Amino acid sequence: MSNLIITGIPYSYWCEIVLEQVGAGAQKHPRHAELSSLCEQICRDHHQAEDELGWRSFVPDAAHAEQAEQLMRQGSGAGTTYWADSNAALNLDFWREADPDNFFILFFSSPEWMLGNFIDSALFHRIEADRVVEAWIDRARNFLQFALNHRKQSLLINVESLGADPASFATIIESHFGLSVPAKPQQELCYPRQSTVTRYVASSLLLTESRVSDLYDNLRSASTAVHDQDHDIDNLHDRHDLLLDTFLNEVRGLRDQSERLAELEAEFSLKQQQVTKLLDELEYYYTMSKKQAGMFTSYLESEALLRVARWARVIQ
Amino acid sequence: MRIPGTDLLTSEEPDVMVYLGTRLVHDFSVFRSGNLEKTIFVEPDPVRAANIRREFEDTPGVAVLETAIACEPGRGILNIANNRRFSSLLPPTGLLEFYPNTRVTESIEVETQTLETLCSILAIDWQKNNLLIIDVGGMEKEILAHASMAALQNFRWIVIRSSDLDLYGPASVKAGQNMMDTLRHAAFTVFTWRENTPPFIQIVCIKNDFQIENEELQGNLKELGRQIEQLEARSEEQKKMIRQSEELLRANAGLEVRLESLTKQKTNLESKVQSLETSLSKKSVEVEEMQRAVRINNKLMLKSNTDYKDLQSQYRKALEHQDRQHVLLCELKEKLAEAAKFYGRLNLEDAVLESGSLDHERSERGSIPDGAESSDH
Repeated sequence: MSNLIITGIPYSYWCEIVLEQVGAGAQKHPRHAELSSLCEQICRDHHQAEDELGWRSFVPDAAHAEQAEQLMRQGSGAGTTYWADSNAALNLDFWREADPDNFFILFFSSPEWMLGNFIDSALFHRIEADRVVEAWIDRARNFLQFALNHRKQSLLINVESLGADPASFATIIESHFGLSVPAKPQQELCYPRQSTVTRYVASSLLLTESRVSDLYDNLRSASTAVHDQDHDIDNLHDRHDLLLDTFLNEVRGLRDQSERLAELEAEFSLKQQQVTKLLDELEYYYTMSKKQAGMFTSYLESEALLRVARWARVIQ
Repeated sequence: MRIPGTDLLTSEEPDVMVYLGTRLVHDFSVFRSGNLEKTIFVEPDPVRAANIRREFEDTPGVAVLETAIACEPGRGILNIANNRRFSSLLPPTGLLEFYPNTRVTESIEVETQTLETLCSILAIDWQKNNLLIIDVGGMEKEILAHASMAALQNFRWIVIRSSDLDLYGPASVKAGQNMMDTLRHAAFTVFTWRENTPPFIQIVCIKNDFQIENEELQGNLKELGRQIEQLEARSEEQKKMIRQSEELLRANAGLEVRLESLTKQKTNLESKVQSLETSLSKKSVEVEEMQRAVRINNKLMLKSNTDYKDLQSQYRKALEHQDRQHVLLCELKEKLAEAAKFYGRLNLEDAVLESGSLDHERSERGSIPDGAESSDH
């Protein structure tokens, strides 16, 4: 029996991959829910009032160790079981000590992918964006440190590469850990695609942050290559420059759309003005016609002969 | 990952900083904040060198030297990795265990300098507080193991990013040990600490002036001790030679007496030799005569042998004749015996015939002519 502890960087949609790929072959740990709630509880106790985005790597109290060990041990059964939780990324050594035979799959993504997903998912706020970047740095540093210290027990995988070739996941687990996880037939993963504008904005925000570039390059060097694109370790500036043309095209498209919208709005406004004018005219004519009708009625009522004729028509 | 040596920039405020290999230089603000008179980045990778040049183009006192530091000046091949932080003059080996997704994407020829030539090019003043940071992808072991003490002592602090494993080939652990020995020998106090993530270590070396003076004094003391030892050894040798010459003189007197008696013995022996030679010449004449006699004897012997062999052959022939005669005699004897038998039979037959023939003769005598009877006999 082997336990796979799977974790990843937030906003990287690694969980979708786990459900799509691992979930098909391996079983969930029997105490999956308890482990997740224990992990969350440990993090909450440590970080007090801080929200989840502000949680950073830490060493949990030894008091929790026994409970974690017990829960881990209760997963003894045939085959490979997995426990997937984002918060496990914050104390990898703690979970390794809970069962030294655990294997770890650590999903990372580029900082701009994570930040872009965050921008797409919430209203943009610079302070929040900075917190996302800090969270990425914390997890990435922790992953790199853990993976280099426990090379045989851990696997660093780039989520974005795996998205390009999800079927290779089972092969990688088998070749690295010797664990058999049946592969699921290849299919496109259903996690959201980022627009170039979002990606460009995200990478622009990171240009001044020198720490992420260094860390991300080293993470990719230490990772297991899933796809040919993993071999290209281009730096943030190059990636940013590569996005420029597509970004400009998209911006140009948006500008065209915006201009067309403005034209349409102007046309609409003109039409609206015309309609208003028309309404005014109609109202005038209506008032005039009403006035004329009143005049005509009074004329009819004032003339005796016409009044008799009218009365006779009514009787008929 | 912390940029090596940056703590020293703030705590010690060096005058000059020489940075070999800029793989970890990502936060340039660190180098702007110090009170450095001069900062020299030495980077062989043209892309990284251009980045740094661009970054510091408006900063006075910062220079970028696009060259690699090696054991020999000239040209070298720089292996550019997909992660340019791992580019080196050496190909990655053990590094791949930690960073498996590292590939050499291109190899370019670059200029190389030694640490000595670099110091002379940069005109490093050894009296100033200079800081040397080395992060050259495994080459540090070779460079420092071969560096001269004078070149190293140009710097007050040396910070090295290295590893106790062989991350790049073919530098060896032995080269690493040599590097540490060289640094200690060059009067540096060496501190080593591991980075949070393996496999790198950082070695901080601080020049110890007291140790240098102490080593100089110890060197002088050793030299003096060596000279004294040499003088003592020389004086001992001279005493020994005097003793030997005295012994030789004593031995010489005894030898002269011995020589005299030997000369006499020689004269006696010469006269004996002369008489022996005379008798020898006589004996040789005698020997010659005897040899001649022996030769004659030999000839006679040869002749008698020939005669003897001849006699032997004649005797053999005589024996053969005798045997043949014996055989013939035997045959003759047999024939005579047969003849005798035949004769006896003939006598008997003759007697019978004689009696019969007489009758017959008597009967036929008248028919048989006289000549025919005589021819049957």
